[in-house]
Amino acid sequence: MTSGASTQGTGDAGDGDTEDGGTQDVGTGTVHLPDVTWAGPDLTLPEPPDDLAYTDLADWRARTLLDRHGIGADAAGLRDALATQQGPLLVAAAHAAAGFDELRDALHGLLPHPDDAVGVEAAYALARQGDAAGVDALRAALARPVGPYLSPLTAAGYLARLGDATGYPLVRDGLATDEQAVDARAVTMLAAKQVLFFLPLDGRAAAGTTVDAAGLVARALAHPDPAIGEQVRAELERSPLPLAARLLADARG
Amino acid sequence: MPDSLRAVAHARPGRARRADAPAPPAPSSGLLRLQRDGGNAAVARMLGRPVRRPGAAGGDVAAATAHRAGEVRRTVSVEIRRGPAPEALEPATPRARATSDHDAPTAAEPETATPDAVAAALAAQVVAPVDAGDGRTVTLPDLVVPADLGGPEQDAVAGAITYSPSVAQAGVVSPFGATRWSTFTISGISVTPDAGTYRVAFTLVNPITYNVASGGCTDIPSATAPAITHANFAAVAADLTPDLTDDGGRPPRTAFWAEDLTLRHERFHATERQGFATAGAQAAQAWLSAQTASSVVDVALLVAQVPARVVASSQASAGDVHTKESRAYGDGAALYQARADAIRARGATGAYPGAPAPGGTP
Repeated sequence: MTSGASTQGTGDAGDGDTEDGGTQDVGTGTVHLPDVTWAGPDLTLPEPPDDLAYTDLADWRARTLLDRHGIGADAAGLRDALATQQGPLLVAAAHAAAGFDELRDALHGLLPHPDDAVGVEAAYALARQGDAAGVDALRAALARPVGPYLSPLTAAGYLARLGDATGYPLVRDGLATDEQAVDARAVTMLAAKQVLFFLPLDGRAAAGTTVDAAGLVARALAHPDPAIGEQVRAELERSPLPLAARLLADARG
Repeated sequence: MPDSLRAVAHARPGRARRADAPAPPAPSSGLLRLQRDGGNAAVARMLGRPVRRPGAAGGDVAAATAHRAGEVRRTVSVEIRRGPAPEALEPATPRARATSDHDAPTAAEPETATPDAVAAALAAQVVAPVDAGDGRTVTLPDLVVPADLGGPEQDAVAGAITYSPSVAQAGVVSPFGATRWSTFTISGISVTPDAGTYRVAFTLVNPITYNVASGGCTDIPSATAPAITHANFAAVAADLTPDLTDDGGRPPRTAFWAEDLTLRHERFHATERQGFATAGAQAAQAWLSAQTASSVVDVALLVAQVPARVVASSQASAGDVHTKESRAYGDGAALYQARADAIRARGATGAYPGAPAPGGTP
């Protein structure tokens, strides 16, 4: 992935050059910065194996994406990626780094990353390594406003996978996001992607309420956007949990 | 730490503010004003810390973020030769450099933004050291730069993003097709420092391209395609029949494909991605407008994060691989089925070349 500034500034009214390669209007104080082109990586992935459990999908996706871009899934390759990549490939590298204790220092360094998605992936990787700082960072991520930030929903799912239901209200409410809300589709779909992780926590107390797994599934299936129900249905199909099978049967009812 | 600060911090006795020390500047003046007018680079040079540039490595950005949160601590260990205390503060050596910083071409000369102010504030906190003998360590209290002198002022950011997508058939792809949607150009970036707010506006250009490839298969644009014969019509129909157990209706296409329906499939992805990115750009604008910055450089760093945020939003919206493709194949399933049915019906009537004559021996 590359990103970089073009060589041509965009300000035709500027009368002074800045160190950033832009120009500045002295009269208005407006700074015109040069164009930036961001060529994101190809995120197209093959179909996951039919027998891949939904709980393993994120690991598979990270490994497959890194492999597709020639990034080795060993400690050395991931360490290099953690230091040099950005955006989706850095997110994937941070996720895949969970399997390497020797990358703990690099993951700690990513916790305060400006891209909150990177910080959450690093936090989850650390948490999977048994590092309490990762759990703390995931819990802290729940406080960000959903909409402008999507990582709280990811963090909620990761916490659920760790047996912590704290983020349940975010997922429940995300499934009922108003269509007029900021990035409503992304919020609702991302909430839907976390539903399966709360099935093992069904009935558990969470942030002043109780996890209602069946309620989450019902809410998703009843969503006016059929893609939301389809997403949750696909999760249930890829789960060995008896409760998933029962909820799926109910859904097919 | 500049030399002047180092010397003064060591030598100035007493907690009380020196009578001749300058009063702390008002929050909107001093370092803060220099920072606002001259940018981070000016202040960084003055205070002797690294300057962050747009596109800096992630580690630098992370460190900068931590710095803004007041979490970065630096341990300083220096050796200072013992000698008489200075009579007065040294002149502010970096001042001229700071005001000639190119972050802002005509930055006003800072009226009170001198290292003297910071030095005096630090000096005022130093307890008079005992006259330690050689080889004895004297522990000094922590020195804290007062908030109104220390960290750069954080102003709000008001973002205005114009999302400008385009969709075109272009590029070389692997069979049977692909849609590329994750390239962005941020153009026309303007940053206007206003009262307490950096107003930033730019256009997020998103050229979405799609294309298809046959993979060696024969195109079947309709039930009357010349490639269809009596011998192969059943195979053609089978190749174009949507498999409803596979991603909502993926046709097998082992030897025959329908270019027009494959183009429709990719256009579905392109249109969907355009919609996702439209919402993602709105979310990125909301995110941008919830940030703070202390310089144009900070704003540029924030703007540079926008494409990745839009990509993340689009990925979140798309659902997992299975559901994404199910929607696209589902969109074309009825058309595939209709074409396959028409081919079978036509073949059953013996309308394709090579069919036995009516009443003839098969």
